[in-house]
Amino acid sequence: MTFPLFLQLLTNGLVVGALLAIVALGVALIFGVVRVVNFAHGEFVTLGAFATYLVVTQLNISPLLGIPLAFVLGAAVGAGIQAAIVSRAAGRPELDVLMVTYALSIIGLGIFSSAFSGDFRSYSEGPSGIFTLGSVVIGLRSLTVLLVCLIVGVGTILVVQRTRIGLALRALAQSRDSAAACGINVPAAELFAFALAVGLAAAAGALVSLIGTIHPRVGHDLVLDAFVVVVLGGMGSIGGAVLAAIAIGIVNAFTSFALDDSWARILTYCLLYATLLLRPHGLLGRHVGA
Amino acid sequence: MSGILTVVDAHKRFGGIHAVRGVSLALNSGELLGLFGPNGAGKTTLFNMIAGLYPPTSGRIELASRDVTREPAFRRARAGIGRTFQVCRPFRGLTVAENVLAAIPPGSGVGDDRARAREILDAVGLLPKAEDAAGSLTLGMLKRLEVARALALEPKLLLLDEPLAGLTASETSDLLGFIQGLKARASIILVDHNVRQSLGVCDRAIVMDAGAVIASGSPDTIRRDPGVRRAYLGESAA
Repeated sequence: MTFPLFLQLLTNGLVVGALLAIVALGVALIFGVVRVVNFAHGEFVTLGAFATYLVVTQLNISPLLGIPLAFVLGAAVGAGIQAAIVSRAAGRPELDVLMVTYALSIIGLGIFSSAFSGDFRSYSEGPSGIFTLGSVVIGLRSLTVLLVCLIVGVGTILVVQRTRIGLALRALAQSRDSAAACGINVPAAELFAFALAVGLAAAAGALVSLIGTIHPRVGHDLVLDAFVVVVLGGMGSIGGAVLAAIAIGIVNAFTSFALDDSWARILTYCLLYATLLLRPHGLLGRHVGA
Repeated sequence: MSGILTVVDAHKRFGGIHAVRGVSLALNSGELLGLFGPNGAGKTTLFNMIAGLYPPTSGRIELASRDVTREPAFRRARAGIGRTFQVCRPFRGLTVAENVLAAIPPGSGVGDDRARAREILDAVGLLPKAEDAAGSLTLGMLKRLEVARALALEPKLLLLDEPLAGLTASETSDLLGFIQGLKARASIILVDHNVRQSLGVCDRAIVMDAGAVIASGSPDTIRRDPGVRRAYLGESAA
């Protein structure tokens, strides 16, 4: 492998990894703060992708504007679902809550399939052309995805690490009872976390629509990798999720080139298996009970 | 003295278990009330009802004449009920300072709040550990951190659940002295199994058994109560 090719694959991997990181950040936030494994997360990615597709093709709005619009739509939908459905399942056995999010996923998939059929869709509006840096060629759309992911990812981490609401979320992730005893409004903090996470998923969907085709399962497929990323990074660890997403993106890029996409997936799950055996709490996660 | 806490005929049932049976108590401003009894007496359940972790099955709880019976725990904390837990529950992944900061109501700015957190840590002797992870503290320090977190709420009422458990003799003596000093800032209910030492700092005490109050009064009254002596202090207690 030549060095320019190595750099090219690394760049491709970074783009996929960055996108995966945004989705995984949301999964980690919901799991860490709300203590829910959200099987419907992929459908929120699909929501953002179709919403952007509609505003671009029907309203002639730039897909770049579609990204914040998708975020706001996702956050509003997420807040509604947390308040109306997920919070009402709180305190019930974990399997019940899992079934609630699984049902939401099936319902979402059904709605998207019914409304948009199974067709693969795309649009040509938005940034076009290529950007060349030395021997590395990157499409402007991919570069946009990388930059937006960087901004959104850093912004999210800053909110979680540097603000009072972020401190409340981190406290809540450690002990619900202690958080309540400290006067932290637990239902409001959970609502904020769920809305932020779903907003991130929808924004990721908008980015997916920029560089790929859109179909009802587009988010579902992406979120499977996001779950792997969250487990690899350490359940609930935001830093671990970002690290693992970048790693998976890069491994996928190299494996897909050297072998094919099927092997990339096989290797991803072998990595998951090895991590669970050797480091059950993930790359940056803490031991259970620590 | 004005009333800080009033509990009226509080009951708590968990299925077939009647954990708290008709407990009534009143606590005045600046008073330190000891709450004693064997394991399973219902002390922690009563604490959890006062703090809002469990809603009472029936009865009424008032904080400074305000009915808080149906209010959630976070709202009671904001209303001025600070508590510690029997088994320490720090935010282990946060720093010691962040643990306290999390309990300070957002005020004029994070900078001021951080200064306030450091003041509170100084008061409990944990300032040198401010930037350490809470999970790295010793048990004695964790107990102080929980007290610091409760103080960050500027409480009217402090509920201290077995703060002396697991401490060395010198840590126990230090913490009891510190708790006595807290009376100037808040009314306190203190649960502990170290009855003889704890009674030394209490203004009044009540003793529970099987979910009900079996004795109440001054520390001397409690010490002299034959039932309490037999059950909790031992027949040979002086």
